[in-house]
Amino acid sequence: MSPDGLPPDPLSYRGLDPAALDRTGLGRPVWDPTGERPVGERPEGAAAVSKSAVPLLDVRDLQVSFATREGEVRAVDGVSFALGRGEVLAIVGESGSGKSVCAMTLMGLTRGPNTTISGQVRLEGRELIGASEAQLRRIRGAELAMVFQDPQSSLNPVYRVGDQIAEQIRTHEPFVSKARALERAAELMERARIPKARERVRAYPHELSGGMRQRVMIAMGLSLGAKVLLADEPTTALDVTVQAQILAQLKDLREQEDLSILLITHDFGVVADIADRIAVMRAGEIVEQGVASEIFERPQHPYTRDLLDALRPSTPKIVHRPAEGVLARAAAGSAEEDLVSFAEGCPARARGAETRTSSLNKTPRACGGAILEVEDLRVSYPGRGRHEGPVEALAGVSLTLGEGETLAIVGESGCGKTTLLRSIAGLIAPSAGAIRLGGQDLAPANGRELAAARAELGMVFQDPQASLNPRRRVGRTLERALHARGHAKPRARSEVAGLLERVGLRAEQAERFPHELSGGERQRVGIARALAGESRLVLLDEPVSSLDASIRRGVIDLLERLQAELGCAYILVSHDFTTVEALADRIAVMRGGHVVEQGEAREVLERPKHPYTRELLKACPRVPSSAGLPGGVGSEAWTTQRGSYSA
Amino acid sequence: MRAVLRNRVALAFGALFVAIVFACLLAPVYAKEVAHTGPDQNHITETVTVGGKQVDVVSPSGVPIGPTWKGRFLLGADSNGRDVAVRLLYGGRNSLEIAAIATAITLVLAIALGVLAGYMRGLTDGVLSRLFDLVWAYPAVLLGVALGVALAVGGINLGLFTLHSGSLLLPAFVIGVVVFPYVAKPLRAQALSLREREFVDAARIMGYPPPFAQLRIMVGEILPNLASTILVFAPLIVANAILLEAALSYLGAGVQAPSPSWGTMIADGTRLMPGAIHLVLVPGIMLVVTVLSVNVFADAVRDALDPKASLRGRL
Amino acid sequence: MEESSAPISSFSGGTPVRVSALGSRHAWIARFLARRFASLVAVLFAITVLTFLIFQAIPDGDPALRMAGRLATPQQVHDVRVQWGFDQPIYVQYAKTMEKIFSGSVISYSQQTNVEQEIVKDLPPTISLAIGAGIIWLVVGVLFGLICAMYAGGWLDRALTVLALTGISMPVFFLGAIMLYWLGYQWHLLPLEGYVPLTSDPWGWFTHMLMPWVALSVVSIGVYSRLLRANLLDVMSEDYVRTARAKGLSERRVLVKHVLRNSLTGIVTLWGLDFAWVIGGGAILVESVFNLGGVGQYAAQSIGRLDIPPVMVVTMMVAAAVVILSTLVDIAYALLDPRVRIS
Repeated sequence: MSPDGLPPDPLSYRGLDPAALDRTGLGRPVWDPTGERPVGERPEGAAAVSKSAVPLLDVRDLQVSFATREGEVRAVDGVSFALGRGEVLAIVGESGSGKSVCAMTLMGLTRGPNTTISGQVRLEGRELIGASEAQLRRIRGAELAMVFQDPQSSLNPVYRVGDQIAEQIRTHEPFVSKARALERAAELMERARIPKARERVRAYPHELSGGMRQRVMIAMGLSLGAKVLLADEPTTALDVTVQAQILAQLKDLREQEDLSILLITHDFGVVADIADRIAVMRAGEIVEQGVASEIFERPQHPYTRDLLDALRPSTPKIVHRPAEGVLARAAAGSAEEDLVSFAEGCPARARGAETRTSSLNKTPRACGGAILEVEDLRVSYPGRGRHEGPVEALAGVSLTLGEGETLAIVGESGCGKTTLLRSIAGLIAPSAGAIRLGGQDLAPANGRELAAARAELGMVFQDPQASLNPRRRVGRTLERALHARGHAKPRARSEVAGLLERVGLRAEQAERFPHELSGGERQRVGIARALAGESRLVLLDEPVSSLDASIRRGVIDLLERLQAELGCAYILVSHDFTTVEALADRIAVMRGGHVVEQGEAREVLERPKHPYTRELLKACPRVPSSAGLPGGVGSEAWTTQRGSYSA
Repeated sequence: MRAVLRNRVALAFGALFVAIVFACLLAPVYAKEVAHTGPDQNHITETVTVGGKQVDVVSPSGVPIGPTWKGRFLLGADSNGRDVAVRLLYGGRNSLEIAAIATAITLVLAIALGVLAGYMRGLTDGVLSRLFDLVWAYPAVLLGVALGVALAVGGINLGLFTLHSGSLLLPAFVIGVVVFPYVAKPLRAQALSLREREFVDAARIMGYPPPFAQLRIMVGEILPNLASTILVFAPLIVANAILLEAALSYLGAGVQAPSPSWGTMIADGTRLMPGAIHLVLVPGIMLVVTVLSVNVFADAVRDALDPKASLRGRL
Repeated sequence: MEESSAPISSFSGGTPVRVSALGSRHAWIARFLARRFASLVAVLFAITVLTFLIFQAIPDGDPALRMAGRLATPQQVHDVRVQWGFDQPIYVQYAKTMEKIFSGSVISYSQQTNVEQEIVKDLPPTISLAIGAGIIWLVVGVLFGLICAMYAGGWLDRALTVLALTGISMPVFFLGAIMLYWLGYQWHLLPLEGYVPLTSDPWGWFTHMLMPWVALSVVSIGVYSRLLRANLLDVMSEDYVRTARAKGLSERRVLVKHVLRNSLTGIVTLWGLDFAWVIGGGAILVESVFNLGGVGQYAAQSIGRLDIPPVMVVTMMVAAAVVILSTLVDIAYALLDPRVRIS
């Protein structure tokens, strides 16, 4: 379960000295590989951020393992940290790092016949690990509260929201009457800034929006004045703007109520604004821990650096003069060239005029025209529910895309960007408007013509696991793709090897099934499939969102390289600005089925004109700029670009 | 599948079922070598040596002999003086043969129509779903009985093929038709959800020309992913087919006399109650053991292939 | 991903909330019922057509001969042909058939009795059987399913599973015969056969119904408890159960208030569908074994005599009952789950 490319053992990673990595400020080592006496005295000048010397929550050497069919799985392997009053400690790690198990163990929720737990967990001095179930129950909700990732499934759908909050209150205070408990629930919801709280007390969870549901969860958790809040990916399932609201609420709680928060997340951006201290977790262990600003500015452990690195493009397209970047790469490449000149005025030319092409594609691209034209595209669905008329997913969208260009479409969920992409791909029939690919009208095309037009179009999906047939070897999938594009069967087989190598995989991986490959490798197969048969236009639907942060970099680089080699155009849909910055030539911002702003990437990002664009850019969580990479090429440019953003 | 092979209990029962099938297939051998009689031969007036004494095969009051535990009339005789053990094996052959054919019919119908309905949606789905619901609305036994009775008198001629009233295919056909909606509906549901998966989108973007495009996708993308569901269902269908055939035969709407079937044998035995309880016990126990072994095996298959079955701790 | 169509600069939250005021939900329920009723009528119509086709319109064969029975004289066959319209186009046949059924004038020729009157006479045992067995297997099935789910993987779970599997594998008529033999003939614990009306002798009614009830329930308990176990396990692994535990609720509370309540829809729908099977299939078999004289047995006897009219009428009635019952189940499902919206 370790992210791509990194060896499983953090200790052997470039031979680092564990003592240097202890930044807890409390004089305790993060881990002790040799089994000797603890090393690591309190470093000079490192002051603990906690307002009191005695931590509220003290975890030492926590170990949790599960007995499964395949043997014993160590989810948490010797984790130690402390949380003081009014402090926010963020545990950052990727999927499978054990961070959620860690939090749930604190509450005793992982106890079971297959679970072995050892170590010490002290809440205000009381030991929790060995405590009886009855004791733990008294603590749960009353002193330790937990908020989970998906508020939709974390609330019972058949009970009203107010009743669920009241349930928590009455569990711990059984003498409170039902009416009084509901009163308190309404008050709590008001304080959580849920509008029309009095009415919404009687609402069912599915009648509330995601942000409101999460506020309800927070209100519920804190209904009894708990001092510690464990928040497990509280904002992951929410939109970016709502995420900002929830984080703001958590910050307020910390300030006003002196609440201690253990924030678990995979997103460093979320952490930047709110965390006092950060612990980075990987494969069940904490690899680095310390004060937030330190971690950002001087990350020590290579894994931490990789994580931070993945969020910052080292050569953002828009900041550097792109020509340098491309030419530098081209020059560093191998000797065989097949350089092609691009026509005047072509955006690819503006990028440096000379690129390498592959042996698959020898004819010079006749650039100068748009490869894709979308005119007043409309897609509407019949409305569901009693009052709603037809829902307009796309309300008249027009764009053009040139050869070899990358257009990024950004927006929040529901804005129609996915619908747009799927309409272009031919998966959705538009209600009105035209789509022209290479001059050929796609929209009302009949089957045969549509199939021919689609031969030049490829699509990369968000979830590489879901986009590959789990029952077919990846090589066969690529063969079918090539075959569909008109390559004869025998030839297709040999081309598969070439395709795989082009995307950075080995030819023998053609025999693998999708579940035998890692996430990054699967996505590369998806990209290979999209390119099969010389696609001129590749549609990318959130291509890196479901990949772990540390492998996103590699895939983005691959996409850049392929575009440079093959000259294909990209339409990139993403909600993540990091990806967008790395790849986009132009950006279109969508909202409510319309394109509200469109233009050169740099312009849109630096000088957004539409107020919505500004809001969106402001709300996106950012890793702080003052963090510099040793020798990183983009750091200064980053600062100028982003303005000031203090950690 | 490997997990199934590791489950020894399931394997044992699976082997038991295979053994039973084998034994039934060897019915003629048994009849000739061991019992020296056929399934339809009456010995109603004969006598047999039991414990040194001569005993009537069928007593004057009509009660047949119980198990002798010897070569002849190993498990006793029935009211017509026929050897129960021989009839058991021959009856088993009939019952299992019917069940097998019925399962095949069910699977073919359910897969073809279920996938079609789930993938094509729209009008096709509307019509097919109504069809499923309609057939499904009739309780299985009742519908089987109704069809069995209606067809028993005259057989059926569907132009393509004719089934005569004495043919074994008739009950098989009836059972196959009656059971198929129970399988078609879940398959349709799964095809429906598979259709929304991204790899199907990817296949659609591939650009195969219609009409083959849809067929290719149904066969190439959807069908392979239904494989595990089908594997889970198959033994269950077999078990239910055996039981249904027994019920139909018991009521007289399945296998017609004088052909033996476990169901008809139990019916004969019930009529003679309380005497000659072996006539009920022998085919009944055989039936239970057979179906139980299939069910245990089916359960293991379901456990192995169903992803929800594995409790891996919360990670 | 969720929808947030409100302007993001106003941080007051996203989509307008459709708080269920009492009135609007009632209106929705009314419309839902109306729609279900309409589709119910349509399905019932389809059932009559299909049943008709099965019995009257099987290709190759003389429907008049089938209806008249094996012992009919040519004159009787001719009469039948005229009365049912077999010499006329098929929709006329259908109309005549339906007319006969709804006017209660379907005659069993070989028995010379009015079919529908016979059916009415035979209803009480069938209803007693169905309801009694239904209650038993509901209670026991839920209990077993709950136990299995709570101790999933343990020995109790495995033992009950084996028991359930055996129950499923047992033909109802075999079980009935065995029980009859031992409890009735050998040990003289319970009466051998027949039905005693509840009104005339409650205890007699009870003792006569006990074995049939058990015979019918065993199979259903087996099926039901396993399905329920799977359902409960699913619900137990839901996130909101985790939240409930995190709130500090006792395990028992979690089980009752969250797990069971959310499984209720599953329990009800599964039971409802099983009930239909009982009426349709189990009743025929059990009634025959215990000679209860119910509708099922009537149908079974008619089958044995190859007497078609009763079988046709019973089939139609039962199918109609099943459809009505499953509609009721659907309605209950919609009422129990506040998430259900118009499909």
